[in-house]
Amino acid sequence: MAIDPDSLTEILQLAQICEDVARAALRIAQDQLRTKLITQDVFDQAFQDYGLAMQKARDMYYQASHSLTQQIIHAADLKTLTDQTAELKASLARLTRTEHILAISFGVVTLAATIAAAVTAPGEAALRAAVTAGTTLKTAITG
Amino acid sequence: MGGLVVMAWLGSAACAPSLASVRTTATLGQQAAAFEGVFDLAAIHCRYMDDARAPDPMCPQLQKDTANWHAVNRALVGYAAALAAMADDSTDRNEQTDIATALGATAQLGQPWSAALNPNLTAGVSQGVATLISGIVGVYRRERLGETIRASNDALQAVVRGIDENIALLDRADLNLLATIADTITSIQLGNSPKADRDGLTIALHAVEVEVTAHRAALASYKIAVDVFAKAHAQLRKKLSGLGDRTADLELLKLIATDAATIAKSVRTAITPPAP
Repeated sequence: MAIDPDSLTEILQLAQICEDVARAALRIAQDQLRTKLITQDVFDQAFQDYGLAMQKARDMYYQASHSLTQQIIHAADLKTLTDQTAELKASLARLTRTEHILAISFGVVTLAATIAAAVTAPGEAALRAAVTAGTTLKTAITG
Repeated sequence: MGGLVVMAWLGSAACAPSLASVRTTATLGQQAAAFEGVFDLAAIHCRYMDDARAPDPMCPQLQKDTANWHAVNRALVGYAAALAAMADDSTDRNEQTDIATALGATAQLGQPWSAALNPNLTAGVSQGVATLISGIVGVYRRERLGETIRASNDALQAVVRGIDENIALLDRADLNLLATIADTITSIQLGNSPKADRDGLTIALHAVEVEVTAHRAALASYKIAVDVFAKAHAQLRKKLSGLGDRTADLELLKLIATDAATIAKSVRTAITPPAP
């Protein structure tokens, strides 16, 4: 089975949204560090989570074309993940202050990792894990 | 700048005798010679991740394929040189003949591709390389030209598709790394000591940024070189009956020039970073 170019484009877009989510979470942590709402240790942890999430997004770029030919994720599942992640990105962009930055940054890493897993080894369980990670992150954002 | 050189060359080639379009196409293909190591630079982000003590698990696989990409590029350039030698068979041996022979001999894919790459893509590239090599091997006579172009066109398009796809992925990975570096720099500038700062990366960050940006430019130039060559070759394939006819040659050159300008413009647009 050849790569479906449309699905490939959608996966690359999803990886880009994951990057945007990771960067949005880092921005919040940076603002909180700047205004001394969090300690250096907390920021370091958030920064480390950010780095991991960005790496997971990068993995998706490679895996999207390199390993997906046999079992590319179903377009409807992809749309679910993309919509959910885009919604989280919008929520994070609106968030200016939180008391749960580590819960958010960890939620972002988990989201990126589970989406990468769902993209590289699609299956019902992998998709469910990604959707659950999205729900957990949403809860962390809304506090 | 590269685009201007190509356009100037195309302009001068238009004044050449018949078969100028084959020589032009061959010259465009030979421009890829400058990019043999462009995929080695995938190692930039691997080095960075190693320095950051967060090795990228994909790196060993990416690095395993670099020798094969060298061979792919040699097959492309060798094939282009063979076309040039066939188009100019006034002497038994010429420089293009030697280049084609040498590159053909060293264009063999040595190792199986890594598991990181899409097997359909690499199968197409491997098969394409084998076909291009069979076009390189043999006597360089004008009589072979039509048959060789006809037999090699699909192979060339498959090889270029594989290269293009790898370029697209590495470029996206480069963009991801540039974003990470920019965010790391702003984090360090907060005046504290985040993880990256403690790892001693502050000195190297801007250097890596420059290197990655240069890599993106090299990938874009490579894309222009191979896409223009593939498109010109496809035009040759379509207009084989016109080869050797001066008027048809001139028409073909105009088509190639238009394609070259369009491809160069679209690739440049694609690599231009979005406004902040």
